[in-house]
Amino acid sequence: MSTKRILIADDNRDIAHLLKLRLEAGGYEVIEAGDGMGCLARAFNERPDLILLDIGLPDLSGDRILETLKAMEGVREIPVVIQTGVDLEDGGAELRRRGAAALLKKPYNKRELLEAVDRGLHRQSHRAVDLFVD
Amino acid sequence: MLATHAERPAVAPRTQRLLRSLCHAIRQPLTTLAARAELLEDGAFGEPPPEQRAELAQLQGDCARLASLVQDLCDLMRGDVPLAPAEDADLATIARHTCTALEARAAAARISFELSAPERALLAGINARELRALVARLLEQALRFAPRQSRVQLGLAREGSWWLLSVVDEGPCPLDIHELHSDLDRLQRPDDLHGLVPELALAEAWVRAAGGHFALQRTDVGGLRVALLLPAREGAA
Repeated sequence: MSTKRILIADDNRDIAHLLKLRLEAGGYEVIEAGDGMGCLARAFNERPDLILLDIGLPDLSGDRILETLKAMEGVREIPVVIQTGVDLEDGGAELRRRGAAALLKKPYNKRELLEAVDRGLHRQSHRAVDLFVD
Repeated sequence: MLATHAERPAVAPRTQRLLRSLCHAIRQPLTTLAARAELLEDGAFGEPPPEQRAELAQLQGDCARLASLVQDLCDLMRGDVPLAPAEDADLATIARHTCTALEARAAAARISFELSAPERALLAGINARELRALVARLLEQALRFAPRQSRVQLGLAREGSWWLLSVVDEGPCPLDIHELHSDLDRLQRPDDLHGLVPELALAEAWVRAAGGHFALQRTDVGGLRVALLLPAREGAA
């Protein structure tokens, strides 16, 4: 089985670095983007198996990035796991409607992280009915 | 009975926005702290010596507590948060389970728990998950301040149509209990964050929202007694 590639999109370099360490230890290959435009570019050019997206990126809102990804031919099937430190008013319903596979609330532990990633990848493979977690 | 959404006091939009931003800001370093502690524990930066494992576990526990407090603050300040569904909760079972869960930490600090409770203590219209968090919060607060070789007493007794829950530790506690209410500082030492007890304010707010009563008292030996009354389920002994 080939190594799954995960794109981490987070402007907090410290969080991105620690996520990379954790995911690489879990057997994943990791690529990174520090802003929304970089995320879209790397998603389109490198076609990762999953995107771990922070919704507070400086240049584009999480909603906008998600909307753009889901409209792009060739990348719309990539599962997107959202991470956020904000209490979303609707509990993440709008992000779900826009196609997010899972929601990770900060701070999360390694079990929650790896479970969300695994569920997202599982959805890509098997198209499970509902894998949204919070 | 728990207050309904409409009965919750309104929070000024500016305060809401400020709190939302603060919670978001606090959760960033909290995320990296927790992740670093886990990576250290897993040996990602080299195998930690055995004597450091307990410290790492403590750090992880502190991160979890801080995360829980941040969430509590958000929930208390947001007027639009739906309260968790109410149910009939058994306070006696929750008290026993919480004591058991914290026993190892108490033993490490050479503190003994004394639990005095009936077999069952059914409450009306209280969410069990929130109640567990409340009892844990009170006991953790007592453990933090109780001196080594001392006792923390958890008592549960029926008082008319109420259940009285008390948590008593052996100190320290300010001479004037009003200072504890106003400053939320048990040690009364300026610039010492260790003495702050926001969990008491959170517990008080929760108890009042649940239609109960909350009181703090200084004990004869200079400790703190936290007492709260919660409505008993009708007809339950």
